[in-house]
Amino acid sequence: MPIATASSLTVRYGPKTVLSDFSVVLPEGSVGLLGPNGAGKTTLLKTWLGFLSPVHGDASVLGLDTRTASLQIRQRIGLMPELDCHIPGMNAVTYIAYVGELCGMPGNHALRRAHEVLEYCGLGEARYRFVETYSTGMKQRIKLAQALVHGPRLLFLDEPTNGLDPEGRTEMLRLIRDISHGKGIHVVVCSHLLPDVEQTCDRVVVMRDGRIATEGSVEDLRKLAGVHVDVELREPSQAFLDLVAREGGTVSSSIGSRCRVALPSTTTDPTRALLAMAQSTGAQIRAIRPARRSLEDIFMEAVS
Amino acid sequence: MIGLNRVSRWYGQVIGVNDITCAIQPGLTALLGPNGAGKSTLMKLITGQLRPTTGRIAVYGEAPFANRRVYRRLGYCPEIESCYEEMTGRQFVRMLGLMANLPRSTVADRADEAIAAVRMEHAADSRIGGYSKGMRQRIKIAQAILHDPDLLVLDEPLNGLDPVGRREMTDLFVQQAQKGKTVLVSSHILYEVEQMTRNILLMDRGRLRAMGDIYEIRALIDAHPHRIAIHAENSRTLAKRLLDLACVISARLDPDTPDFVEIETREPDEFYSILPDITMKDGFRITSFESPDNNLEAVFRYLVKG
Amino acid sequence: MSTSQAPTVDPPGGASAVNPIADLSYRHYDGPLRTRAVRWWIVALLAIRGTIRKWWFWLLFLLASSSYGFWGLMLFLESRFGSDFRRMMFQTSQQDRFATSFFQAYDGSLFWLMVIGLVVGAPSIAGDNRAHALQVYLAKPITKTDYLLGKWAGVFALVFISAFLPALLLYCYCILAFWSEGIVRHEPWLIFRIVAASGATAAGLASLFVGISAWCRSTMVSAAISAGIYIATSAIAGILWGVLFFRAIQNGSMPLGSVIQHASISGVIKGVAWNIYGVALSIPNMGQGPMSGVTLRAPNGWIMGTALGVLIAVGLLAARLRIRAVEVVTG
Repeated sequence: MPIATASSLTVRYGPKTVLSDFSVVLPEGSVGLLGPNGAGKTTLLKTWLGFLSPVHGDASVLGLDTRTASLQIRQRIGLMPELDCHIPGMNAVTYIAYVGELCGMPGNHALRRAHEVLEYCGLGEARYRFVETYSTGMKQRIKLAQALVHGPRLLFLDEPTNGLDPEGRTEMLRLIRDISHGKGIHVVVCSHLLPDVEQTCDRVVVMRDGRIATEGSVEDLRKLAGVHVDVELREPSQAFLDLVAREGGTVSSSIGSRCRVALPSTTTDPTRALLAMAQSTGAQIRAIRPARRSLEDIFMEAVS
Repeated sequence: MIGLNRVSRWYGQVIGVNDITCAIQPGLTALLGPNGAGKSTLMKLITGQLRPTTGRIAVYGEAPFANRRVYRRLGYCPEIESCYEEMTGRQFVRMLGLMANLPRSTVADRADEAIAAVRMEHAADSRIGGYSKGMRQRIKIAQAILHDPDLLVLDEPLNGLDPVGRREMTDLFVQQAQKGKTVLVSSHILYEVEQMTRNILLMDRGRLRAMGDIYEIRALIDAHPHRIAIHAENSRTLAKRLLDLACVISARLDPDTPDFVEIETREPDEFYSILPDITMKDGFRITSFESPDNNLEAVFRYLVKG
Repeated sequence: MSTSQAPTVDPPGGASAVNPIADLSYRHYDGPLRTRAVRWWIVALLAIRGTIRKWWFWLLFLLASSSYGFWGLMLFLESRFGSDFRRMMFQTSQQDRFATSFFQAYDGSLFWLMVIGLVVGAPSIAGDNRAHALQVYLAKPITKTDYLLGKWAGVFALVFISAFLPALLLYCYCILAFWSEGIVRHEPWLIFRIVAASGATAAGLASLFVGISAWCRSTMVSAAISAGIYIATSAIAGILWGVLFFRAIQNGSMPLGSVIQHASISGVIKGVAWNIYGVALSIPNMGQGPMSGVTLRAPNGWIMGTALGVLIAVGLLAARLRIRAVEVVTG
């Protein structure tokens, strides 16, 4: 069963028609929903949540129609909104337990579950503090906790790493990857930070101007035809690049000490060939790996 | 260009930045650090919005605090998102142009140029109140580059921008740096920093933890030996062979990925120069090798946590 | 969290029965779920639980109760020193002397009930607006109506408690002290009147303050606007009535019980309560002054009832319009 679908969906947002005749099927697993500002991601998300009702067409989440079963949908999903949000005037445990009660959990179960979820989200130490006093990183975590408390089958994560410092970001991505792999929860991640999506999602849907620009599994999209290799040198070396070109390779990009080279398709052992070239030009190779397209390249290609 | 000499700043009892001495040269420098490390405070000190509690700052030879001569050569993009909501983007940029003492005759043209540079032509005449986060960032950057300053200080300028915008703005900063300007950018997104520059200032808990070229910094971190992850056929044999090398201090195999071996070395330079010989002489087929430590992410992790 | 329970029980953490080590990282919620009918009550309960733990609530409660204490004392003194004692200050018919006392006590506590409603109601939705809490609420399986009803019921309950509890205490005292005088025989509906008056008051105040709160993004602004409207309408009604009063004196007639006097938030609420108690207040004849010897009667019940109904409807409707999950961006 697909986790969310839209078929010939038309949605207006205020005076503007953001989506018109839009169709998409998100399969199970973890899906990244990408697109530049104004591509219609947020509108689509809000339609799935039942906040906006479509003018034409249908949308469904977990097999339930957004028009008629909005409450059942919201019982089964969790939303981590982009905005910094919480219910004021409570400490974290009370807050999360209260959110659980809003979802129908009896008080004692909600409280037990709140402790569990806060622990999982790494807020165990801070659970008796007021949410107002939390740092940016903790606020993101508690947003995840409130989305998880009622045991949803599907999580919508809107810019989950917004404002986080590198350490907080790594930790949040680890959590998202953990929750979406092997815990039976599907996730839809919206993010402007493409490496975040690369790290957490198995599939991506790239939107542009209310249409799908490209979609597919991350693995497939990132494949490059031919023998492409990423090489990192200790120091930038023009001599090495020249030699690669003379040996029949092409240097497709070169930023600082890093370059991407395409070798003739007859090359059987690209590593050995490149190491030899580097040795003869006195360059030192620090890293070699089969090149894959970055999600950023895929994205840029799709939206431009 | 910019010199800080034992600069500290307190807010009451709270310390913002603690005893910082550094020099920032023309070109692009990234200012990194976890939340609350003092990055914004440092930027406010350099842009003359705060006076250092102790120590001296010189920007083009002068103390920047409330100093108009410094302000004229300075563009600043603050982190806060508040603008004049009722103005259009163009009005906002023009107003700041007038405040920056641009001649009235040229301010409109300069504003248009700056708006074009941040690709905001299409929305320049709508209200800032209706702007998205990314559009606000762009208009804030436009007002910073408007008067063609020699020093650009940008506090989290990419926050809220979509991938297209991030790349466009990154390119813009690099261009500015290539024109010989001094550009100081703070960011949390390390892979983007790596695309912009190798030159960093790393702050942690108010203090300057590291400055300079990230590769040089990495090479100096002794506490964490370099790990090099290798994918090769016969990984077990390769591991044995590599353990014979004096510079290799450990090798680890992973039962789940049979073609994988990870070695640790304290002399990466030596290792990398020996590796080609071993590969070729002993006929190992290596598909890839790379160091998970040799990036900014790892440098950051080691220096900020350690 | 031990797995050494009865073998029929699934081990925690989703660990399979063979694995003696439980996975404590994350597991699904598989406990019971309540029906949807009680969701609004959970929202209401949050406000009630939060407020009754605060000392200032009980201080305001005491202040609101004080007029019932005063009237209790009056009734006590009257029973001691005879009805002459009372007649010196307040004229009342023997028929509904308890209802009169309760109404006067209610009148004395109305200001404090307003303060309680203000303190509890003004931040109720404004605080949520500020913290973007609606994003949290409405992503959960509750409707906008659940949310609004919960917020309203929270304020209603707290005002109702503050209005009803002290009256109930006084009523119990009266039953015990004046049983022999036939309190239940003479005034059998009194307890129902107390409940109805408390309810009307709480409903009016809750609707007004919740309605205003929904349109504010700051609790302080919400409180200021609420208090402002409450006090301004009272002031305007007071001035208008004053003008009419003096004109009437010049003409030699009395505009008493006039609807104009009740053309304010507090006036409407008090007017409805007056109708519920159904009493007439006689001012003792002191021989001089325009008010001397006059009997004040409740204002027209239909008008007052309609006005309260409109107040409640407008307040709830205003709040309902403002509660949105989506901010529509213009421009």
